[in-house]
Amino acid sequence: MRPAGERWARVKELFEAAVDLAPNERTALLEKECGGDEALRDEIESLLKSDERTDGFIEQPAFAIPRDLFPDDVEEPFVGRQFGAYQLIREIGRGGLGAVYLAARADDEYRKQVAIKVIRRGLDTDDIIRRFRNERQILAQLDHPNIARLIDGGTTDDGLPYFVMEYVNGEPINAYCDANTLSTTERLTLFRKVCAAVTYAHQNLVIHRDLKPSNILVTQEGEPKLLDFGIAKLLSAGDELFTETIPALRVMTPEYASPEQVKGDRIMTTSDVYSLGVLLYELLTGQRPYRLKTRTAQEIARAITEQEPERPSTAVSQRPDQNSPQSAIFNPKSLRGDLDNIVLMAMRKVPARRYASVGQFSEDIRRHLMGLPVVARKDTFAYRSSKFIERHRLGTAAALLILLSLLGGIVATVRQAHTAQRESAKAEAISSFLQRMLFASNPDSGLRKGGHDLTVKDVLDEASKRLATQDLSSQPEVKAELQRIIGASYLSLGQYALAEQNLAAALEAHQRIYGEDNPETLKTFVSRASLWGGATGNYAKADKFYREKLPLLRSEQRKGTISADYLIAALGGYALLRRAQGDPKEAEILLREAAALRSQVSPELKYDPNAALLALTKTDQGKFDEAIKTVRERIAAIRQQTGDETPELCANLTGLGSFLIEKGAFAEAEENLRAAETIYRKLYDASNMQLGDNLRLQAQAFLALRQHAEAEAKISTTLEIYRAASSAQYVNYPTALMVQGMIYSQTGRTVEAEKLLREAVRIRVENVPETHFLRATANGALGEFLTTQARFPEAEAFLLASYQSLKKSQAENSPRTRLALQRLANLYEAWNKPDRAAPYRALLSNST
Amino acid sequence: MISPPPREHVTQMLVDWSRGDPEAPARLMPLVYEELRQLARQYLQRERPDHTLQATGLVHEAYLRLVDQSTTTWQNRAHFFGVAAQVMRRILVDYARSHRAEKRGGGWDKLAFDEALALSAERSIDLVALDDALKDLLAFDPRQSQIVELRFFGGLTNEEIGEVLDVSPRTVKREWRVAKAWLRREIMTGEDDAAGR
Repeated sequence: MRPAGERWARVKELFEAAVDLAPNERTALLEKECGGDEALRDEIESLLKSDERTDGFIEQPAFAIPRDLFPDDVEEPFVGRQFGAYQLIREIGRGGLGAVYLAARADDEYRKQVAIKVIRRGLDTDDIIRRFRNERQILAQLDHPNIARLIDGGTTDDGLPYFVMEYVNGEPINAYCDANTLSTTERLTLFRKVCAAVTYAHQNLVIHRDLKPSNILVTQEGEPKLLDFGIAKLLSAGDELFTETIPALRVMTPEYASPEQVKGDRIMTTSDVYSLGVLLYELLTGQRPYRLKTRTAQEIARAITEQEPERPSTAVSQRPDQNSPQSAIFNPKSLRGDLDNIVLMAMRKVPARRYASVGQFSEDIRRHLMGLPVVARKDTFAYRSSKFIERHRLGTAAALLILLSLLGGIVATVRQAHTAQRESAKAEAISSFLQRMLFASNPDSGLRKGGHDLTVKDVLDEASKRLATQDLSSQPEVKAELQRIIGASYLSLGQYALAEQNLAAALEAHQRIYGEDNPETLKTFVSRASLWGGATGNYAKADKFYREKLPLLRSEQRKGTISADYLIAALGGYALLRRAQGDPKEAEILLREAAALRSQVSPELKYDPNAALLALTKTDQGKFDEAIKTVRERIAAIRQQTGDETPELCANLTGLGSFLIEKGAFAEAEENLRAAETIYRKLYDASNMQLGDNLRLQAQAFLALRQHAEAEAKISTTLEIYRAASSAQYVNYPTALMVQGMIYSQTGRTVEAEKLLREAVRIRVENVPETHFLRATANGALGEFLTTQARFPEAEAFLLASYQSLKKSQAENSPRTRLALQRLANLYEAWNKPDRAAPYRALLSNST
Repeated sequence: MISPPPREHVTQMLVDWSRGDPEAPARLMPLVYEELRQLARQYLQRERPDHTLQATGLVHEAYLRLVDQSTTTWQNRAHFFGVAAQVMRRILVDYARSHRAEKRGGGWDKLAFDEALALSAERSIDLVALDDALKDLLAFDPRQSQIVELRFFGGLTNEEIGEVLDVSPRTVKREWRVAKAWLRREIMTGEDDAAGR
C-alpha cells in the first residue's frame, strides 16, 4: 500500500499522536480523528500493531560481514608465475599487506622451497624498495636458528615489491600451544626461545615491530621461527605515514602494537618488549588483553594508549567456560603474583617503565621458573593514579567549554571593576591568550596528542607551559590572573601540588600588584585557603585567613566588587575547616549563611555543594535524625531536578550511608553506599578520593555485619586511594587506619591491629583538639581493642577519655556516645567489675 | 603505476560535491566500495574468526581513513555517510539476492542470508524484501527511506543521522518509528499469514 503525499502526512501525524497512548485513549482518539474513514483507521491501527511487535526488527544494524561477501578477485594469477629465480607454487597466506606464496627455485638446482611475500598495490612501492636496498645487508645477516631468513627481494613486472624468505612449515604459536595443550611451564619455555631470537636481532640492531602469533610459527619439532623480521620497518618507516590518523595501524596488527607505535612516536627495542608482553598475555590466558566492543581502529588505539589491561589471573578467573578442558591450563592460581607482574611490566604504557630489554624480560621468566624472586613488581598505585587525569579524557569540546566558562567568569568580574579601562585591556589580553591556546587545537599546534581528544588537564598543562615561556613582564596582572585560573582549575581536578604551585605564584603577584586587601587578591586567597583547610591540611594558615579576611570578603561582596560565588566558596571552606577543628556548630552557622546568600543571588541554581556538609555538621552534634531527613530530601530533589548520575547525588548518598552506619542500620547503609559507588565508578576514575571515602564506609558497614573478607577488600582499596593522593593529612585517613585495625583485631592479627589503631590515635592527637569527636572515636577503637587483649587498665584510660569527650561534644542520645557507653560497660564486665559496669548499663538503658 | 592516495582524492571529491559537482557521488562510489572491501578483508584475515565485524565499525573506519577531517565540513561528512550507507546496502542486498537465487529450490529461503550474516535481530530479515520495501518508501517519504538506510546499512546513531540530514535527533527518532512500523508491516505480513497466525 502506497499512501499518497497528503494522506501519508495525516497517517504519520495520527500514528505519532496515538502511539504513546493507552489502548482506550487510542481508540477514543482514532474514533474522533478518523471520523468515518475506515481505511485511514485501519492503516493506522495496523501500523500501531506493527509498532508493538518487539521482535527487534531492523533495530540493530549489527550484521557481521560474511566471509565471502567480497568475491576474491585479485592476485591469484601470481601462482605459476616466476619472480626472479623462483616459481610460485601456491598461496599459503594472505594479510592486509598482500599475499604469501610457496615458491621454489625455478632452476631446480636444490629444489629449495621458499616463501614469497608480495606486497599489495597501494603501499608506497618506491619507498619500500629504496628502504629494502638500505636494509637488506643488515637483514640478510640475521642468522639465527629461530629466525626465518630473508633471502632476497625485488619487484614484479607490474612493479609490486616482493620479499623472498625462508619457508617455514609450522603453525602460529598460539594455535600450536592450544593444539598441543601445552602447560603454563611449557608455554613459558617456548616463549623464552622466542625471546632469545628477538634478543639476537636486537643485538644486530633490528627491531621486529610487528611481533604477533601469525609471525611466530612453531615447527613440528617444536622450534619457534620468527618471520618478517624488519619487514614492518621497510613498509612503514616513511614519515608520511605518521600523518595518518592512526599511523601504525595501517601496517601493524593493531592489538599487538605498542602505545608508542599507535601514537607514531619513536620505536625502540622496548616496543618489541611490549608486543611480546601482549603475546605472553595471550599464551597464558587464551585471551587478548583489551576488552573491545566495536574493534574499530580508533577504539583499539584508545585501548592501547589508555586502558589498563586486566591482570592475567583475573582475566582467566573470569573466563565463561570454567569447565572446558582448557581451563585446566589457564589457571588463575599459577598466574597470580609473579606472572601477573611479569606480563604487566612488559606491557606498561611508558616504554621506560618496561623491562629495559627482551633479555631482562626472559630472565625474569627464568627466575620465576626456577622459583627465584622476580624483578617485576606490581605497578605502584601512586603511578597509576597519577595517570588518572590523563586517562580521564573529556572531549575537546568539554575542555573548551570549561575553560570558556572560566573566561566568561573573568570577563564578568572584570566588568564590575573600578578601573574600567585598565581592566578591559587586561580582560582582552587574557581572552586572547586563552583563545590562542584553545583554538590553535589543530593537528599542527602540538596541542593534539596522537589524534586524541584533550583532557582538561592537557589544556591546563599546556597553558602553564606556555605561560612560563611567554614574556608577560609588561603585563604581570595578566600573568597572575591566568595563574589563578589555572591553579583553581587544578584544584577542582584534585591536582593539589600543581594547584598550590600556581595559586602561590598568583597570590604573591596579586599581593605585590594590588596590595593585601584588594578584591583580586582576596579572590585568589579564597582558592588557596580552601586548599589549606581541606586537602593539604594546613589548618593554622587557613584559620588565620578566614578569621582575618572573612569580614572583608563580606563587605566587598555587598559593595559588589567580588561576586557572591567567592564568598559562598569561602564560607563553605571555613565551615569545612571549623568542622575539622571540632566546632560543628559554627560550621553549621557558616553553611546557613552560605545557603541564604546562594538563594538570594541565584535562587534558580539547582546545585548545592554544601548540602551534604551541612548534614554532616548536624551528625557531629548528634542530630542524626535531622541529618538523615535533610539528606533524604536533598537526594529526592536531585533525582527530580538534575538526574540520577551526578557527583552531588553521590555525595549525598554516601553521606546518608555514613549516617545510617552510625545509627546501626548497616544493611540499608550498604545499599545506599553501593548505589553511590556505582555512579562514582561511572563518573570518575578508580582513584577518586570521594570513591575512597565511599569504600571506607562500606568497609565499616561490612565490619559491623562481620563480613570481614568484604570489609578488608574495601578498606585496602580505600587506603590505596588515600595513599596514592599522598594525603596522610587527609581528615579521613586515620579513620581508614582505624577500620583496618578493627578488622585485623577481629580476625586475630593483633600485632598489626594495635599498630594501626595507635597510629590513628597518634595522628588525631597531633591534628585535632582534645574535645574533637574524631579523637574520641580513635581512642574508643583502641580502647575496645585493648579490652579484647585483656589489657584492662590501658583500655580504661582510652575509653574514659573517649566517653568524657563525647559527652561534651555530642547530643545526649547520640549513637557515638552510646557506643562509648557500650564499650565501657563491656570493659568492666570483661574485667570482672560488674559494679563499675552497672552505671554505664543504666545510662544505656535510660537512653533507649 | 601508483595511484594517488585515496584520502586526498576522496576529500577533494566531497568538497567538489558540496560546490555543486553533479558527478561527484558517482565517482565517489567505487572508491568507497573499494575501501569497504579492503577493510572487510583485513578484518576477516585476522588470526581468529571469533569476532564479528559490525557495519558501524566498517563505515566509520572507512570515513576516518578516506576523509581528511581537518579540511571538511559537516556537509562533506553527511555526503560521505550517505554514500557509504548506500554502498553497504547495495553490497549486502546483492549478496543476499545472489544467495537467494542459489539456494532457491522451491520458495524463498530467508535463512540463507542469516546463516552467513549471523544477524543479531531475533529473527531473520529478508534483505531483498527490505530493499524492495525501502524503494517503495522512497517514493512517498524519501527522508524516512534515507533514515532507515543510514541507520540499518550505515550503522549510524540517531544523533549522527540528524547531523547528516540536518534535522534534530528527535525528528529522526520519530520518523524512524513510523518507518519501522511501516516496513515491518510490509515485509512481515505475508509471513505471519503463512504461519497461520
